[in-house]
Amino acid sequence: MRRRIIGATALVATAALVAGCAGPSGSSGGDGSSGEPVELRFLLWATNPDQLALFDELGEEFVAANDDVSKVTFESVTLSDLNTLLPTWLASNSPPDASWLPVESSIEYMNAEALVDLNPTLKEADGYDYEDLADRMQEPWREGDAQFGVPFSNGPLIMYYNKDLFAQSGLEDPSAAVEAGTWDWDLLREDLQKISADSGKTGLIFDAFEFKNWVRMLPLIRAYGGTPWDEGGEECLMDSPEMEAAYTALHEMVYDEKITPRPGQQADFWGGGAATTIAYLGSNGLLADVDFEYGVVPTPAGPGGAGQHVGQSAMVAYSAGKHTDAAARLVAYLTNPESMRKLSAYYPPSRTSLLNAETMEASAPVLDAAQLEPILTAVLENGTFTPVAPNNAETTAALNAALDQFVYGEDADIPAALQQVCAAIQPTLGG
Amino acid sequence: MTTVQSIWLSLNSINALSGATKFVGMENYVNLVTGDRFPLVFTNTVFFVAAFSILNIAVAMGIALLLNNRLRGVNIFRAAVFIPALVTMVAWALVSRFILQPEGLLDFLVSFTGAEEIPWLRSRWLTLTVIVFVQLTKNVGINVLLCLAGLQAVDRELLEAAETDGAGRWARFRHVTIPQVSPTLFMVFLLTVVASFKVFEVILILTNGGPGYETNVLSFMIYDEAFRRHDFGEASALAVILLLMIIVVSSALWAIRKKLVYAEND
Repeated sequence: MRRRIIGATALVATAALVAGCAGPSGSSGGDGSSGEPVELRFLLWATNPDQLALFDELGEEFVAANDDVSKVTFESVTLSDLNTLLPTWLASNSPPDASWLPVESSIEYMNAEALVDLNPTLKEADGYDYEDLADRMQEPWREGDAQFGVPFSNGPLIMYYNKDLFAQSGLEDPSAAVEAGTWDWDLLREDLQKISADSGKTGLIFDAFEFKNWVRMLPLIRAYGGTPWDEGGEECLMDSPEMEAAYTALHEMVYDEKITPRPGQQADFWGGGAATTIAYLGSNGLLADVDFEYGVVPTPAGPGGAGQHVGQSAMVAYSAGKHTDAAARLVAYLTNPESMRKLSAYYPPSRTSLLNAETMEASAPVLDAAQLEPILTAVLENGTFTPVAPNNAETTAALNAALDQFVYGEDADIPAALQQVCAAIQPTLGG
Repeated sequence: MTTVQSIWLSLNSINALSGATKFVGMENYVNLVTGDRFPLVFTNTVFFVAAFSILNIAVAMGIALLLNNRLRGVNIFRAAVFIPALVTMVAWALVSRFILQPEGLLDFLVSFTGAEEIPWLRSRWLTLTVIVFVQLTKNVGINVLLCLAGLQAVDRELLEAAETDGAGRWARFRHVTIPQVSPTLFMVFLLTVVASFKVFEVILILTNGGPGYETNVLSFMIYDEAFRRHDFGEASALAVILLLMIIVVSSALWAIRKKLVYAEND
């Protein structure tokens, strides 16, 4: 009997091993050492056909100007897929040559020496105008003289609002409050409670938050002067008084005032189901299909000031790629003044010469310069990027899970819960 | 080959971004087993596998018995039971999430009983049970068809002979139908057990493993470790643990099949 059990176990184990015998897919492309022109792969998360067409056009221009490159392929994936694919390809030593990368990942990739230092290539490139790159926007990607990425998109999280719902409740338009300098979270919450009571609709949706993406809380966190960890990413500050005030405000908005959805609850601003939403500037294209009057304003101020959050993505080249020199030149070409001017039709740029309301207007076809001026002012005066942790992936996963477990519940004791959050994420920080 | 590679990876600390690997022996396994999450996730996995497999076979057999009658329009019901199996799990889970959300359709129906709102997706055991139910409604159709095929292969002469001998409905079911269908039931159960270890999409869409890790299971934790935390070493260790669990459970079931399956000794 025992022998048969062992035999059966061995049989099942063998079957499992045989079932797993599909080998990993091979990497593509040669190493270019033969002198043959190389093909470059560039990964991005654009979905708009016009944007992809522009990249293809820039890629063809680059190929025409570089004899050692025969083709540039732009592969589009979702951002979450990119976060899955890149580590997998890097671990298997078959990464793309270059890609977009969100600022949250900057330190982690730089510390792992996964990125090519672009500085020499950028400075040598014809007509690049390195000094035109806005210093403050380059900071996350610089280490001493080295530069590991060139930001090409600096999109602020802004507030979109349904003018009709504000008017129906007899409330002052938020843009007037911005002008008067009274635009803050207290006023917004008061307004939204009235709108919800009058219309039965949701007051505020933090777009793409769904209680599992803490970054989308940054407009509220910054307005209360909070930050999740210190400058070096070593000490957890989630339990600071500022964070306590920010998360208490969120808890009150969700459970007491009922002006923003609860965990699991679904609502849609673009379909007319809510009075306001906080989303990236890049989402403004969705306004083209709405059937209500809309407006845009900077996110509200709070006790910590007007904390305007700005999301950022850069173009990078991978040191594990097979054509690092050509990849670095491609990044230089895509971020030179002329290319960035073309790209600024879709992405708020990082060149000083292009940072103006007219350029932003071009990148926001549904909005005009008058609507965008206050947002640009807020970005330039108070703009802050996403806090970056040295082990960003692990810290983000731990933080999202801890917030979900301890903070987002109806019965949460916020000060105690935030201490538990710190206990959960401190081991993942650099200190 | 891939399995061997996974075992090797599980013995290494891997920096996915730099490609650097360092042999650490059993450290990944020790870290997992002594960590906060693993006991919770392991228990959730065992609960899900047990509840889903047992309920699935019971419900599938029950529905198959109902559909095995020669009634007018029975084919419509047979098709209706199978339709959810043709829908993708992602679509099924998204619709389920819409129904289960706070103040959603289910809460609306429950409100007529005067009951308080129920946190369908914000607790542990209740939510795991809901996940079992969602997965069950999606997949039970295939097992119904298999059980139905087994029932229709039952020798009619044996049933008639039992009836002639005075056996009642229950006795005929217990002593004739079940033994005849037992090979089918066993295979269906074994396949369901193995499949239920790999539950993933429904967790991702309904709860994302939350609140916190309350509804996390091993297959989801593998994804979390590898693709959210970039820890391929611990993810591989989890994959090896999951493989071992599947091997142990399926081997144990295989070993006791003679007690469960009629005429297995013949």
